[in-house]
Amino acid sequence: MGVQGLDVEVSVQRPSRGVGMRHSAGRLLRLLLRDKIATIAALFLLGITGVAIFAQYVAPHDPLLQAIPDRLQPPAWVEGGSPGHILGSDQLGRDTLSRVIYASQISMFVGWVVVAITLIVGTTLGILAGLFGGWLDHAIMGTTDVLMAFPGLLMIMTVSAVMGPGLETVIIALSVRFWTSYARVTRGLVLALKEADFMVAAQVVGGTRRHVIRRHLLPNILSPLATLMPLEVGKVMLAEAGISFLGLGIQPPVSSWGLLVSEGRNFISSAWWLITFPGLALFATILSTNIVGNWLRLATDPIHRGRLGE
Amino acid sequence: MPRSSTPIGHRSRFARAAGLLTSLVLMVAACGSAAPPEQGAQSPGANGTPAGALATKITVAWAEDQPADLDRQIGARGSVTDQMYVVTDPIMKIGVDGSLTPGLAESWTDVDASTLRIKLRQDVTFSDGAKFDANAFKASMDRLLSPESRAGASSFPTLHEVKVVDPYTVDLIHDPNITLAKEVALSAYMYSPKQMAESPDSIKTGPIGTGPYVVKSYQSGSSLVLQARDDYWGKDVFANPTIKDVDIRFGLEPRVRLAMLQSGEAQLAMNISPDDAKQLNQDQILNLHSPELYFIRFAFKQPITADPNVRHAINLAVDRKAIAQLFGGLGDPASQMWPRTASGWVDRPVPTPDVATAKSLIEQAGYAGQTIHMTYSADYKPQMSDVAQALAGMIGQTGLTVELRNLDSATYKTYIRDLDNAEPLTVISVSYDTLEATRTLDIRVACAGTMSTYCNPDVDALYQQAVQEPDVAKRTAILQQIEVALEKDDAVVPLVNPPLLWAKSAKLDFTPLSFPAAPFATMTLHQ
Amino acid sequence: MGAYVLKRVARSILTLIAITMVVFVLTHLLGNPVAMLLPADASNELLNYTRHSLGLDDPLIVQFQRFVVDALQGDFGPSLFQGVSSRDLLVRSLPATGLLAGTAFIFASVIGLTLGILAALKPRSWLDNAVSLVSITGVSIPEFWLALLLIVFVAIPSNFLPTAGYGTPLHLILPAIVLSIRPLGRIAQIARGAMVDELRQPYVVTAHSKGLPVRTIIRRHVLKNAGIPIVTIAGIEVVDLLSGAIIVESVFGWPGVGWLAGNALRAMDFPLIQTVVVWAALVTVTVNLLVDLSYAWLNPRVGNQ
Repeated sequence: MGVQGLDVEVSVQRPSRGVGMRHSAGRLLRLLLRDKIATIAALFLLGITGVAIFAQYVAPHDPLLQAIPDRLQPPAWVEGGSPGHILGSDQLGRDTLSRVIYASQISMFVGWVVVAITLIVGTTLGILAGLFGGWLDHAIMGTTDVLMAFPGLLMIMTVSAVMGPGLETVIIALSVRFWTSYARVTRGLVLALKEADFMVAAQVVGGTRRHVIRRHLLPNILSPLATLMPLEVGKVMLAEAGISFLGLGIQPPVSSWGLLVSEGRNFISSAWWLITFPGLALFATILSTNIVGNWLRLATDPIHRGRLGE
Repeated sequence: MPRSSTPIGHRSRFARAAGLLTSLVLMVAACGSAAPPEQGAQSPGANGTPAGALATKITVAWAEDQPADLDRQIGARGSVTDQMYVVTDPIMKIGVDGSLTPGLAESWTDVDASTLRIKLRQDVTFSDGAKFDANAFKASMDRLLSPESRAGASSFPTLHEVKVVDPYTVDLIHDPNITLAKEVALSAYMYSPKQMAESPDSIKTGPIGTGPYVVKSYQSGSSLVLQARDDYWGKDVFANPTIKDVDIRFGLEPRVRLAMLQSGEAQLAMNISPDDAKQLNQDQILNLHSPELYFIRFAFKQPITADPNVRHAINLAVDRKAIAQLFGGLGDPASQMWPRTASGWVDRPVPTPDVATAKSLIEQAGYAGQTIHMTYSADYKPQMSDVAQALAGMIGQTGLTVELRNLDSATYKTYIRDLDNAEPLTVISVSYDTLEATRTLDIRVACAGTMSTYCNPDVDALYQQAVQEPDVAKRTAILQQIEVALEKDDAVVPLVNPPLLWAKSAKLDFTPLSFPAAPFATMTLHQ
Repeated sequence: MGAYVLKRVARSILTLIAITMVVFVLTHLLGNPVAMLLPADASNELLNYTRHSLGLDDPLIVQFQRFVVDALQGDFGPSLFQGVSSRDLLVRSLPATGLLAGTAFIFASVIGLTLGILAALKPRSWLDNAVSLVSITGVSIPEFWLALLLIVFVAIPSNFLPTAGYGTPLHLILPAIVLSIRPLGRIAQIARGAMVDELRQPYVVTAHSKGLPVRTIIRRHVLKNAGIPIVTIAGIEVVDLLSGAIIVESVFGWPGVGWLAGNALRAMDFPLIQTVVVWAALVTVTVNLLVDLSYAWLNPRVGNQ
């Protein structure tokens, strides 16, 4: 059945059991293709990434091209619409489809950049906390405690209000918010691994700390972290959309999907397409990242692999 | 594989833990449902009077802008100001055309250029029994002019002192200012001297005035209930209200206001967007044509906008009719700094855009391809974001690249006074409370204006003449001269007069007497 | 057990203190609130007078001392913009959030738990797949979008459900639905996963083979052990809900804590921002504490660490 990819591992209390195993790309691909839904989701992600990268070739119009006499035209299939604006036009006459396409650039850019930053920062701090313990561990974990006690959106909004809204602020605010999960997971993995046989053996044999980290620790951490990433991308994109929606994120004329929905909010009575299509794009993307993320978690966990029918 | 199709039992510890959490939340929720807020009329027209008669209760969904308390003498201005005309009576009444008619003042005259003498009515009492006389007038004005007052300094910038001449006559000593009477009409709130002496703190939650209504209850930020008083002195003279209970709700989102109107919960909704207005019948929409203007301010200290060719090019590139369309087709394209209804209006058409000339002007000036910064504030005024983006597109056609910067209201308000660091282009709004051009000229375009980056000594001289000219026709001519000078200099780029829309129930008869008053005393609400 | 409780409580208090410090620093970086309070054309004298009367031109250390005293009393002063005590504003908005959060939480937990457990009991059935679909959709859907969609395509055409506001049970329906979708999805997911994991444990198979009825096994052992992750996620969801669903309340004009927070941040209203953030942190820390303590109760081994 195709929906095994929707299962999720309960990793809250127990670290992923995939520790210590390598996964060949070929095997993963074969597993993926067996799960139809996950395949569709992965293809969609590929597609939307392609659209984002090649936006200028895909979009029918310049997203900033205004034509006020053509403002608030409905989608082509509704009475009053025209094929010139397949998904309608906004309050300044700009083409909705083009705006949605170009907005994908910002939404996805923010998603991946923040995940990259939080991955590096969080993992580093997590390793340090786990390996060295003591006051460093307390300090880092204390910081995560404090940060995690702030409700997410509120913290992001406060940082944004302090720094002034904009793309850089959004990236920083989201990074501050989301690095803690990597730190905690990594720390947990490191603590579990520290006692593992091969680690002790490596140290006994005489490897330096750095060597041990690089050769033995990191490879075993990367896999579980990599399965965490798609899910985190979804969370980041959602948070960026939320804060841009509230006006504290991306600023016009640049657009993200969240900002497009926010601008459309002023016209819900008369122009439903302005909120529907950007939101749909956002939803579909986040849904796909979650499906793929869940599937990946299953695929890399030997306990659950059996349920995928391997 | 274990199979079960029955639901969970209740005795497991897990269930208890979850139950603990749930009951915690339930307790808070119970607090919520135990105290629902005051609800307005549940169905339209069910307002407690015999069938066939007029309804006596109105619920009003007020606009967002409301200050912290009801003390209009000390507190900052806000639109709550408006309904205070029903707790207080105006010293003079302002008509829609800007003319003044007697209110609490029977007559007024300029004794000389710096003294305005007002003769007060002798039959007026406050609702707590105190007498309204010259001393009461002075007491209120003194409070308005005190240093704590946030309203006074900006409402009466030229007023020095109020003197009592006789029990019902006062003299207002002022700098040359031809619009002082209008300022008095608009902002001189009279509160009971008895209340001021005995319990000044109670003014914040229930000021006592001479008007037809009294404050029955007030909760800052959420509701104000007014009640018509039976012993109103002016029943035969001013108004005899049929609406006895006024229930005003604050803090409502625009769409909530509309929803309340549509469901019948409210009979009057203020400040609704042109988009929302499309959902209503035309006869339910009141376009109050607020005397407000959006315009672009140039920074004359920046080389790019100090160049008159650049300013003229931008003026030519802007399509004002298109900008007006951004307000649901209800905005008025502006050809000059003040609206049609203000004295000093010059009868000239709205300029049509000429992008070709604009483009060549920019090229000649050597700025083709350059970036120019424009600052605005999306949440300060409605539709500013759309206007700014539209402008960016239009100015972009001249070969300049516009870089937009959105500031939040608080930062924006600080920014527009920081004249040394003003960006080349700023989108600003100005409003004309008194329908008099001079009132805001001094701030916006005078050399010493707090928000003015423009300085032209000739204009300043004309302005000084205007504020001292008592003859209306001559004053109008001087103001027109000022406007012509401003236009020649491309001092600013006037854009549009935005609409101010209120929505009313079909059962409500309401003719706005003047902006911005909400005369509940003269409304009739049918069953 | 006692030592664990003490240690845990101490940690919570320290966290709370740290948060309050951070809040102070952050709000003072926010900029100039005085300009916001006054009309745009206020004179400079008035600006300075107002700043002085609000104590904003005192040296930072004095302001910090005042802040600490305020924090201990739970009262950060009157809202700059509304004049009323910030604490009063917060308290006034609590019932609205409580009602909305409570309804959403109950709805999400009951339905989510039921779906999750039922799905776990029939793995790979159509029910299991359907539940997985519902839960992953719930977790992925942006709340503001769902809220607006419901308003446009349900509330506006219906002429019956209000598009926004607060006051009648009808007003509660749409916001509660929107707010409950994500927790529902997550709770269902976690519940299912936890149950599945537990059901696979050797002791379950053993007990079953020994003849214990399935229902007893579930009740006595499985649920308790699966309880830990479920209570964790429930705790997380409660925190999110109680701290004020900023977006949902903002879209529906629901006058709760989230709505208050949004307004406070937009208006740079220091005391109000401080009040809301500290309250939200208090809720988070408290619920986390309760959840952790409940672990010890659910699983005594934890308490002896």
